[in-house]
Amino acid sequence: MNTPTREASGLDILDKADAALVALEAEGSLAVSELAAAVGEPVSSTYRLLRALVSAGWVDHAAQRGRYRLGLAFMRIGSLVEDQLDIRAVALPAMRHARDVTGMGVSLWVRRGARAACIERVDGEDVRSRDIRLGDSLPLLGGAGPSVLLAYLPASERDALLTDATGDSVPPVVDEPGRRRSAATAADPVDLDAVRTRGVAVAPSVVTPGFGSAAAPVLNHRGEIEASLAVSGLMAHLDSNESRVIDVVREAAASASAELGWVGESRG
Amino acid sequence: MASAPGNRVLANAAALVELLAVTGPLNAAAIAERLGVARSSVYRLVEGATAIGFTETSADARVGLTTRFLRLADAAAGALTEWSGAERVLQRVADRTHQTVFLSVLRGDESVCVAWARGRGIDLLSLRPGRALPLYAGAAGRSILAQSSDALDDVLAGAPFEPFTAATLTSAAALADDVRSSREQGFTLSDEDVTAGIGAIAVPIPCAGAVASISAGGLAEEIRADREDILVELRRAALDLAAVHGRDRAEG
Repeated sequence: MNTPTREASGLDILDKADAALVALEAEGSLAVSELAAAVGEPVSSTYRLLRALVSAGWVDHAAQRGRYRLGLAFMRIGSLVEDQLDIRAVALPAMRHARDVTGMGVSLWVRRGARAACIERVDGEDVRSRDIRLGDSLPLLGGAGPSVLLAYLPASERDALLTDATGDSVPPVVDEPGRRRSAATAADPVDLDAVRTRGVAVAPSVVTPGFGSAAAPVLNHRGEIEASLAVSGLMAHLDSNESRVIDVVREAAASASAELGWVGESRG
Repeated sequence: MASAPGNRVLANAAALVELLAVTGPLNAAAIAERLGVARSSVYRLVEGATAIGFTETSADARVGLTTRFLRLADAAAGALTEWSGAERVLQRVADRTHQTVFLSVLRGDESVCVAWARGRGIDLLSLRPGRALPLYAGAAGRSILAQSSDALDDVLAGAPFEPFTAATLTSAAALADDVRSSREQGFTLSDEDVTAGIGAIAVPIPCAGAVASISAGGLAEEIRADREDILVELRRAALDLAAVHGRDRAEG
């Protein structure tokens, strides 16, 4: 990938295009002289570059005369790329890794209205980790996975849902035959602010006494909560190994977030 | 720079991005076939696109677009400064009507959605920010068509139109009638002409220097039942959006 080859083949124009796009992404809109400086080319050849970029749809004329901005085409391309991101497929390698490291069951939760639904699960070594089943749905205040979903919502949405989650408008979960339910959550609600500060929630299971989960947020490219990734097992085991399990669940969730385009606080 | 080979590379790179956006990851052979370029050119093109963070190659040797496009999409939406402040107006309509509300603009021979506020049934709707629809289908597109005499002749010349559903207008005569009735009533109704079971109402935004519409979409039966209430909200919002647009032009 040496420079003479790239120039001879015309590939250097992609580097120039990239420089222009980076500058426009940072500034919103720019005049030709500013773009010329960003690209490192004279104004005359920057005009030629811009013509090519406009015809590619990557750059548009801005609302103000003589200025340029990123092309509307990127909105369409971005929405298509977003459609192709399958959160389950994206999170599965990280979930398997977390299971291999801890031997515990790993589950992926997304919000559905005022409830949390389990959309993917990797079994742990302990049979009883089948505590959580695919398609299970819990109130947002139920257990670590759902609590993380609630904790990372914008404050206004969280408050609205909290009213729902604790009020009468949401019907209580109906116990299923053969599954016991502990009263832990209702009596001992998860501290949502602490969850945000720590980046992880640890809570007893609402389904099986003695069981619990540690969960961390999966964030999209805007830093918005998309899902939570939970590692579940015996609460005693979670407690004794808490720090290690917490590191594993944080890393697994961060790795899934990176696959969704999250690049961390510095860019967000 | 921006030499003839450079322009060809850029055009090929844009075609590569378009292709992968629609198909998802492909291997080099499939890309070469779909783009009609030599395999060796595909390798070089992908190398260049990967160097600028546009593409990545998976373990199974398929080339896909990176999540950089998610950030570029957000930046492109943010650069539409003439519409900054529009979301608040759209959200108000969504809150009051419970329908999903869209701001769409004319671009070339399509209407492109540039902003939205989600109502209750978002998963049902085909329109989203960045998405385009032809001007003969959907409330937003036909409303925009009714505002643009230039586009109208071109679009009518393209008849018959490819139908989305049994309700899609496919003949020039039917579309011309629709444009006439949109202009007379001041709104455009979509009754399952893009997606079965889905309806929408669009109202033109009276702003200089842009052809744009605001529309509310959702379940066709709800749209039919609440038509008058939705129209009141859309008309008020259209005036607010015209003011939003005019403010930016005054500053620019």
